Amino acid sequence: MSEINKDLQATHKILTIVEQSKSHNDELLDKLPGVFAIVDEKAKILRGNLFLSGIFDCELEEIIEKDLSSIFSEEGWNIFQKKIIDVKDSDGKDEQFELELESKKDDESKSFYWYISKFSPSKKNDRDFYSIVGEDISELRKKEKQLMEIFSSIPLGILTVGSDKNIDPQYSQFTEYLLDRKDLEGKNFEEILFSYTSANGTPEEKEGVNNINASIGENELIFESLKSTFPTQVWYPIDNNLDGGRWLGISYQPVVYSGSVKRLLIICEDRTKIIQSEEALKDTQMLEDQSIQEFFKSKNQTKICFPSL
Amino acid sequence: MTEAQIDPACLNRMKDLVRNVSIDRFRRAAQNDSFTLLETSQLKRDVYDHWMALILVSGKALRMTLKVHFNIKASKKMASPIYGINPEKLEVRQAKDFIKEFCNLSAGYIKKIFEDQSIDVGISLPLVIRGFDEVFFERQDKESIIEDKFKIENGGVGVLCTNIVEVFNQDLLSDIDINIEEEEEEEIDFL
Repeated sequence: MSEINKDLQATHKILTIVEQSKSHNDELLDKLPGVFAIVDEKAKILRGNLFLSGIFDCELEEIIEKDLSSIFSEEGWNIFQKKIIDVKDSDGKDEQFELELESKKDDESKSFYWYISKFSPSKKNDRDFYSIVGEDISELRKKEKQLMEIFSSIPLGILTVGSDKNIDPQYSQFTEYLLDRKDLEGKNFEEILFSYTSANGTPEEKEGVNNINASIGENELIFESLKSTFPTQVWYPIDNNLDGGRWLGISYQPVVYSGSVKRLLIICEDRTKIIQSEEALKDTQMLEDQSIQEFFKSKNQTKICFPSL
Repeated sequence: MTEAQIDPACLNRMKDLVRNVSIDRFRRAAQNDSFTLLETSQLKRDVYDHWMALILVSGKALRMTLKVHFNIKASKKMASPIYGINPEKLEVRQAKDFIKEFCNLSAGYIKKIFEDQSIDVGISLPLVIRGFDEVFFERQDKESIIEDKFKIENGGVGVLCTNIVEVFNQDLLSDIDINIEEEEEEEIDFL
């Protein structure tokens, strides 16, 4: 075989490998989860993926030249189009935003998070194309809604504390009622929950509060060993409250990443009534005990007075 | 480097050569003489179809890039008679091979025409890539280049061909005969 023929065969072989490799890459794009499309200035689709063809209810091969605007509501498309114009006018700046997509199959809107960027195939090609990626976040939004419902209706104070020892922005609505204040976000948890305990608590309670502080950001095992010292019932004084404040029952749950406590979930419940009834029960018991003691006392005295009886 | 002055008539003859060869070889590949060539030179799109097969004919005199834009559904219908199977039963690979074979036949025949007239050209392997890749082909506005588009169709089923011819040395092409000779039908084997 001549040298030229060998070279040709080698070139053909490498071309075949490149062709197959490209084909696999294209298949990866086809199977990308969520929407993937390249569109021109008029939003005509030049390249799409299987997810997008599913939305159009057509074969992937039929998606070319379809109008992307047809999958949006009129209002939705106005927003989307504006974002494309923004990308066009900005110098290489991408756009990211959330916009709903109406499903043709079940008349249900789905939330998508969109990324639009300019796509320039080559320097000599003066046409503007746009790469569009849409991530289906409808399930995430559904879960968030469920969580929000729990957070707004459950009669428990649920809050998380970050590694900076401050209260995270997301906490249950009941927390504001329980602690009688609304400005909880970003506040130091100790100052909010344990200021009374730190000033007036027993030495054990004060040490427990210090241990909570120390365990955030520490190893999970250290947290578990200190957890038993954390105060589980504290007095929370409230001005202009009939009882002067509330008894809070508190439980702690670590949020662990890579073995260390990155966040602390604190759940508070109002134990005032339980503690009040326990104290009332104690008082009644005490009165009962006293009256029994007095009865026996008087009985003994009677015995002394009338020994023959 | 200064651009070579090329006579438009020469470019048009090369364009016609590709057209003549393409329709002739397509009829042979599909074993169906009902396919006709339709004028679509005014059609302007960034992407023509889902798939694109391309082949290169290149030599000292000129370079021809023939691109065949197609989809699997149509390709299966066109390839069905030569495989002797229903279109639905054909595999995607067979549908692509049919178009690749058409490219091979066309480029091979163009090479033969040139070589018969002592003009050396080489042909590449036919490749099948996505039709979207058309956007990566740079449009060159040169007087030595001619671009052409045409459809080969029968009953609404067919392919769209785009063809770019760049002439480097028109003197070598001045006496070339672009007429296609009648050949005996040969059996085409698909691998």
